[in-house]
Amino acid sequence: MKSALMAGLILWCCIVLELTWPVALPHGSLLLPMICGALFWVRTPAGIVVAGCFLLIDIMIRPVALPLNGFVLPLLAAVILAPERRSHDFRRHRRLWRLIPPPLHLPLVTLLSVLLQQISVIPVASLTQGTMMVADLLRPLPRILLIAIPLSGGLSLTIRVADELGLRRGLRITV
Amino acid sequence: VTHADQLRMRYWLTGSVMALLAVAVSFADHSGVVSPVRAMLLDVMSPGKMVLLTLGGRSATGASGAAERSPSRRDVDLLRDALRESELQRRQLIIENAGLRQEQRKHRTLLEIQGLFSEGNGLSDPVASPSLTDFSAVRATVISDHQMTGRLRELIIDAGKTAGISRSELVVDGDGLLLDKGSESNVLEGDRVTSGAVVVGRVRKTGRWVSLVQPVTDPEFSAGVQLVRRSPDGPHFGATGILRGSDDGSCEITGVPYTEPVSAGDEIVTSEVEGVRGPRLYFGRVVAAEFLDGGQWKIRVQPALATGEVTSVGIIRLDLAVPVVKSPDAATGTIR
Repeated sequence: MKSALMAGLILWCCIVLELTWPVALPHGSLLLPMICGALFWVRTPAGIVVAGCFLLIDIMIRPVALPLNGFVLPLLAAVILAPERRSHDFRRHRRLWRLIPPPLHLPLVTLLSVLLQQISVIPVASLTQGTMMVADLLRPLPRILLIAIPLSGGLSLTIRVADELGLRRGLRITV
Repeated sequence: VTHADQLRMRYWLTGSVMALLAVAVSFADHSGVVSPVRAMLLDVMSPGKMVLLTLGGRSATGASGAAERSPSRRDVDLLRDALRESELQRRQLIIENAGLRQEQRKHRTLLEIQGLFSEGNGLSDPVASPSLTDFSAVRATVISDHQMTGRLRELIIDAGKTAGISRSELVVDGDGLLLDKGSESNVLEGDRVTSGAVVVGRVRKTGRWVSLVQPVTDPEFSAGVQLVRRSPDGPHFGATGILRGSDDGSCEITGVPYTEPVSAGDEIVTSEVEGVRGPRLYFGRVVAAEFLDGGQWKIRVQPALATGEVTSVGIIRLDLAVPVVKSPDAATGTIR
């Protein structure tokens, strides 16, 4: 619970930072890797609630055409973080995820969320009429990724180190 | 159902609820329900923003400003040119504004004086003076506010040489307003110089093409004046005295006995022009008066116009309006 509260405080700071300096920190560049980091650090349903709440807050403060991140990220977190069932059928479904090295999970989720964020800001009319401009979509992407990916990499490394050193109590082994 | 299944269920339930909430919030946002909540959330964020801006405002602004700006050199040059141009326009507008304000002030003063003249009782326009004496005004433009400048002097001397005119006839030395009319336009030393009906000064020196004006504020300037007091019944003429210039840019009147009523706000007009009773010209207004030991008033007068405000003037000339002389035959009625 304490880690969830701390995560909430950090996420609030991230939104404030993005709102304060929107040019230096584009929308999602700081918040999305930190939300993903919070999901992977807390690794509990409380973490999903906290992350989902801040995604909702972000949607309310800075409205988007489609709430893709708010819809996809909690479900994706449930897929990744939920304990596995020892079933051959289910394991087959999750094999792909297992193939990816764990330290890359967080950067990949962050990359996905940034892409979803960029898609979600496109007006629905443009999507339906097929007038979506790829250049417009991709123009702010490098600046966001330039901040988000290294940050998520750093967070992933921190989580890994914390796991190795036993600093994180959220680690749970389910049999 | 194992503990792991329950836990898994909780994850999925939480994820699904949050996803559905996101969809619900999005719908609510499109229907405008979220607007009050948005304002409240922004209010919640504002203390943090203020703290951040206070703590690292300058450095962050610089960094974000650099990221925001990062214009090319050409953009910078264009912006600099635009800034310079707007600065020039601003200065030009300031100058024009000052000129217009000065014109407005002058116009207002002239209107006041015009009102004084229109009230009758001996005050008349300088141009209209039907009698044996005829006062006319020669229009002249002020070339300089101070004196004849070196470059202008050279030009006039050069022009005079080609016309065979000696230097002494061309150059006027001294301080004062320099006019573009001289002896060639029948301007004589001592002629009154006015702007409308307001006395600006007197011609001190004349050259062939230019003349120098001694302003009313010059300590050597003196003229006979008369006090006029406005009243509901019209202007009342008061005491006469001698107006002299003062070093501080104003004028003083002496020679008014202390028995005469004097008060601040009284108007000052000429008593006579070149010793001849003619049109009343305006000098200014009494701003202060005090007793002197000799039993007379020392009256301080604020001139109606400062010399710097004058751009064109009239030089008042006294002429004789010669009546048509009838022949002696016609007078006696002799028939040849």
